[in-house]
Amino acid sequence: MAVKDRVAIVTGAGAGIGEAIAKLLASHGARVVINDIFEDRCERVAEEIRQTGHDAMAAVGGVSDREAVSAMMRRTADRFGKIDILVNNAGIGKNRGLMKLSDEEWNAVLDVNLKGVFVCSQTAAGYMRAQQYGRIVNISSRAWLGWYTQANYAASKGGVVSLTRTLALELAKYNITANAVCPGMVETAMGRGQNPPEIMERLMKAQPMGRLGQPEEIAWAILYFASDEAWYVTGQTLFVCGGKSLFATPDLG
Amino acid sequence: MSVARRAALVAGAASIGRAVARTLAGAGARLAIVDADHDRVHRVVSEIADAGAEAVALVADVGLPGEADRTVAETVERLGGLDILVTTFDVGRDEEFLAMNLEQWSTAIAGNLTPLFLICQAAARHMAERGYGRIVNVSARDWLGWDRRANYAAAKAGVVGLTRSIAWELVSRGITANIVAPGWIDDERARSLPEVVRSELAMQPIPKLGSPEDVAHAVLFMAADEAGYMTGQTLYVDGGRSVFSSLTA
Ligand SMILES: NC(=O)c1ccc[n+]([C@@H]2O[C@H](COP(=O)([O-])OP(=O)(O)OC[C@H]3O[C@@H](n4cnc5c(N)ncnc54)[C@H](O)[C@@H]3O)[C@@H](O)[C@H]2O)c1
Repeated sequence: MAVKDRVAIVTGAGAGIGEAIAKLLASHGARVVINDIFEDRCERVAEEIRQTGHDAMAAVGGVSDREAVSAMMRRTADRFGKIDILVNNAGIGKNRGLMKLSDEEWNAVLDVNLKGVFVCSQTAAGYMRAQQYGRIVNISSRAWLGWYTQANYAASKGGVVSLTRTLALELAKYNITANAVCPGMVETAMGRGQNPPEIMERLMKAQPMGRLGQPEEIAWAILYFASDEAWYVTGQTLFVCGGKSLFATPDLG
Repeated sequence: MSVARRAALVAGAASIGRAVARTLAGAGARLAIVDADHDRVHRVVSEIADAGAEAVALVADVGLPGEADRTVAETVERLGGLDILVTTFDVGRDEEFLAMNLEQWSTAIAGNLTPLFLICQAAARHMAERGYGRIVNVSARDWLGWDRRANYAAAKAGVVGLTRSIAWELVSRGITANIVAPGWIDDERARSLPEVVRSELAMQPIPKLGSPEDVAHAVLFMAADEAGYMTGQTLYVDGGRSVFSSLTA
């Protein structure tokens, strides 16, 4: 799975799945840009990667902020000379039952999870088109199939799937692929949420494998799609969800 | 990539099976290869030997009663276990649906599905006992439905249904079962249909033939230790043509 000497931007890489993705790509020889809205998180992850002897740069900024994104991409190209891989991982959730969901909660989630993917992909694709090479990997979610209390989140992640498929079609001629990974419940701050132990236990039982996924297990799929060898694979939606999408049982996560 | 030291059985030694075997061997897996065709198996095994690795050659028609069990038993004995099974059976004749006869139908169904059921079951019995397994079955993008391939599409849809059922039944046994669905790949079939391939590729987002190695790389990804949270999934290696199907989201 070759990503050696490729330049990769990972959004929301200050924690959780994004951090695992950045570290896995770096360990396979990619130079990585660590984006997050929290500067301390960016710096910590970038520093930890440098400690392992790989190159990393922190780039703070919100993914739906067009100016910040343009500046981040410019800095990346200035520093590393190109942008080969974009992993759109930044995401948030604001769960609430449909009848109580507010416009603010709807807009906030759609802004980061969907508009962020649009803005980052469009900006990066400009560089990728000029290079005639690119790999875009988007993190959707199993929840895009629809899930309780997640009308905003599910719609944003469903949007990521259809956006990914359209990116794949429009960008294929520039040797740019676009694919989506749909995680199930993953052991991160977002995955665990604020749940007390008894709810966590119920959540585990609702997973066919009886456990949550690890961030590294999601990162593995991103590494595949980001690799040189996956050039013939585009527009795909791959669930890494412990089998939950085969036949979900309607209990919590 | 962690298939290193894992014991792998590759069933079917034609284009894709050959690439899978060479790729897994290159990544450090210990290998057995089975095919009913003696020459095919031995050709792949000697190529792997030339590359400095080792592979066990097994000649058997695993669609016949007892042969799948015998193949798995021999693999386990020679390799000391069985962690990874990859199947690459591919039988089908092109024919228009209105003209298709029962023999063409039966050949595709029996040739693709019977050996698949038998070898998956034999391997999964061993894996379930050990609490670890990676099964990757190569279906085809054509299962979505295709011209002149009703028999083949039905058989390859069967691969998907069977694999997802294995995934679901064995999800708590440490076994994953996933599917790779190739589109147009540069193999004997594509080379025998140059006109068809030319017009087909023109409609593909990436208007090129893939290689057997591209399929093998997807198999390697799914067969790795790290892929343990993914099961029952289908990955299309097809230049993006599958995006036009409602069944692929
Ligand atoms: N954890 C799960 O169970 C799970 C399941 C399915 C999908 N996902 C998806 O995986 C991705 C990562 O999730 P996680 O579990 O690692 O979450 P996390 O909350 O642990 O980490 C997400 C990171 O993104 C950053 N971020 C938030 N808004 C941002 C913005 N506007 N710009 C840049 N960075 C921003 C956060 O600061 C945080 O560091 C998300 O897209 C999420 O929707 C997670």
